[in-house]
Amino acid sequence: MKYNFNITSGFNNINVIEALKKAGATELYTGFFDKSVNHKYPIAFNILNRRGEDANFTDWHAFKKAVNLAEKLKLPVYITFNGIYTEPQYKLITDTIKKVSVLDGVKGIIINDIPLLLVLKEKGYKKEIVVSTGGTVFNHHAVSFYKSLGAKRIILDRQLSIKDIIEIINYDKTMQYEIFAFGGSCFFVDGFCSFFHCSENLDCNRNIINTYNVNMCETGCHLIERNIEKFSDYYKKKYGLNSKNFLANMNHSCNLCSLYDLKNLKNVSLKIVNRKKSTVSFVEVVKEAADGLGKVKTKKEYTGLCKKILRGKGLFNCDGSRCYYNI
Amino acid sequence: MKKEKAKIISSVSKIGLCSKFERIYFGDEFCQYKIPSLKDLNYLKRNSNGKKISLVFPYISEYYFHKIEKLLKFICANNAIFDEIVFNDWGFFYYIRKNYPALKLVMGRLLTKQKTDPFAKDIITNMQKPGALKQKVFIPKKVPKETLEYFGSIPVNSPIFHKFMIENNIVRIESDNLNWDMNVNLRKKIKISVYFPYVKISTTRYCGQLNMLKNNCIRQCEKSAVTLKKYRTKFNYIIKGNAVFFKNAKISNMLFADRIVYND
Repeated sequence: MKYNFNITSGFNNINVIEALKKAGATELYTGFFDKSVNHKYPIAFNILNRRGEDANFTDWHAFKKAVNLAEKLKLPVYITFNGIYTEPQYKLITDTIKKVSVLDGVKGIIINDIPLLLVLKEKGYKKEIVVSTGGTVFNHHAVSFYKSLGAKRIILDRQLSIKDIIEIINYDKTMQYEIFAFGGSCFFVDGFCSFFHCSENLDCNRNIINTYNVNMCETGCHLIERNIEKFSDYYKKKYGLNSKNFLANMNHSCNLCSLYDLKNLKNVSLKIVNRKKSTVSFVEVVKEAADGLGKVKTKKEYTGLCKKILRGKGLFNCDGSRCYYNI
Repeated sequence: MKKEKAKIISSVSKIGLCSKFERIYFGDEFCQYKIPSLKDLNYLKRNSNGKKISLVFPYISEYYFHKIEKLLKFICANNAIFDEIVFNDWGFFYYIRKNYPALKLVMGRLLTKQKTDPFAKDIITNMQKPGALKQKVFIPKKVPKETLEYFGSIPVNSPIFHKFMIENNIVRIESDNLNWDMNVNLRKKIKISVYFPYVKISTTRYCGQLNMLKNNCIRQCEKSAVTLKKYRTKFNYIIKGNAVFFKNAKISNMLFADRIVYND
C-alpha cells in the first residue's frame, strides 16, 4: 500500500530545485524581500521574516525565475511572511504579498501575524493561507480559530505529542496540515519565543558569516541549552527523579519512525526545515522512509528501517533522543 | 494615570501576598500543569476579601481541554468575582467565544508577542563598541531608527486588531516592561497592563528548569529559580518553571499602563 504524504522543503536558490524534485519533494517554501527593506528593517534581525540573511530571495528576477522553474516541475511554492508586524510595516508586507502572489507558481503564503490575517481576510486574499508554527497551534480549537480567519493549512507546533497530532487532524479533515519531519529543532516554543536571533550571523569559531551587526556568536537560548544539563543533574540528585533529558532536541531532529503512527492520516505534508542550505539529502531520507511504510508490518520493524535509512545517508546514528513530538 | 495594582500567584497558599493589592491574578501563563482546580477557585471565592480576580491560563494541549470545562462553568456562575480571563492560547480564546461569549477576556503576554530579550538592547540602540574578532576588525553598522521603533512596539497595536478585540470582548492586553523605549498608543477602549519586574522571554513544554514532565511534576519548580549570571550583557537570564525571564526593575517605562501586575 502506498501512503500519500506531501514532502515540503525549504530552498533559497534556483540551483537546488531540480535536485529537490528528483529527491522526492512535492512542495517548496522560501522567503522574498526586496533588499531595499534593509534600510529600515535589516533582514539579519529576523523582523520581516523569521529566518535571517541567506534564507530569503532578495532579487525579484532570481525569485521569479526560481518560482517559474518550480511551476514547470509541478512544485507549488509557498512564500513565508512569518514575522510579527507592526502598523508601519503593513503596507510593505501587503504590497510584497500582492507582488509575489501574482506568480502562478506561488500557491500561497505562510503567516502567523493575527492582524495580517485580519487584513488579508478583509481584502479577500485569494491564494492559500498557511499558518506557520509561529501560530502556536496546540489543540483543534486553534485550528478552528485560524480557519475562521481564512487559513487552509496549519503547521502544527513542534512541542505536541503524536497523540495530540492525530486528535487534532482527525477533528477537521477539511484542513491541510504540515508536521515537522526532518531538520532544525528548538528547546523553546517557536511562536512564543523572543530570544534575539541575529548573532547566528557569526559562527561559534568566531568567523564572521554575515557582518551586519552583532559582536557575539551565541544567542541567549544557546546559553540556556548549554547550562541546563548541569541544573538537570542537580535536580535529579536533589529530588531523585529519573527525568528525561531533552537537550538532544536542540540538534537536528526527525520524525521518521512516527510516520508509522500517522500513516493513515490524509492531507498531511511533511516539512523539511532549512532554507539556507541544500535539503536534498533530508528530502531523500523522508521520501525513503515514507515509501518504506508499505514494506513493514510492525512499528518496531519500521523504526529499524528508519534508523538504517538515516545511517545509510550518513546523517546521524539514531539513539531515539532526537525526536520531534516526543512530549 | 492611576494604576491598579495586582499581584499574580499560582497557589492559594500564597494568597496572603495579595493583601496589599487591589486585584488578584491567579494561575500561570506558561504551564498547563498549573491550571487552577475547582477547589482553588472555591477557596479564592471565599477568601478574596472582595477583590476581583483575573484567572490566568496558559497554552493548552488537546487533552487538557477536558479539565477546563467545569472551571469555565464555575467562573461563569461567579463572574462578579472572577471577572476576567487571561488567555495565552488562540484555541482557548476561540473555545470561550463559542461557548461562553459573555466572559471578559484579556490577551496574555505570550500572544502580545513583544520583542523582549535584553541582549538586543546595546545592538538596537547602537551602543555596541567596535572590537576585533580573529584579526578582523568589527565595526557595528548603525541600526535604523525604524528597527528600534519596531522593538519598542506592541505588535497587535493596529486599528484592525483593535476592532477585532472590541468585537470579541477582549477588554485588555498584557504587556512586558521593555528594556528600551516603548511606543504604545492604544485606542481608549482598550486597556493595557504591564508585568513587573519579571519580563518573559521564552517558554518550553520541555519543562525547562527541571527537565521533567508528567508524573514527575509535583510543582518543584515553584520553589526555586535558576539564574544564569551575566553573560556579556547587563542582565541575567532567570529560568523559572518552564519559562525564561529577566528582571527589569525600572518603572519609568510603564506610563502607558493603567494596571501593574506584580510577578515577583
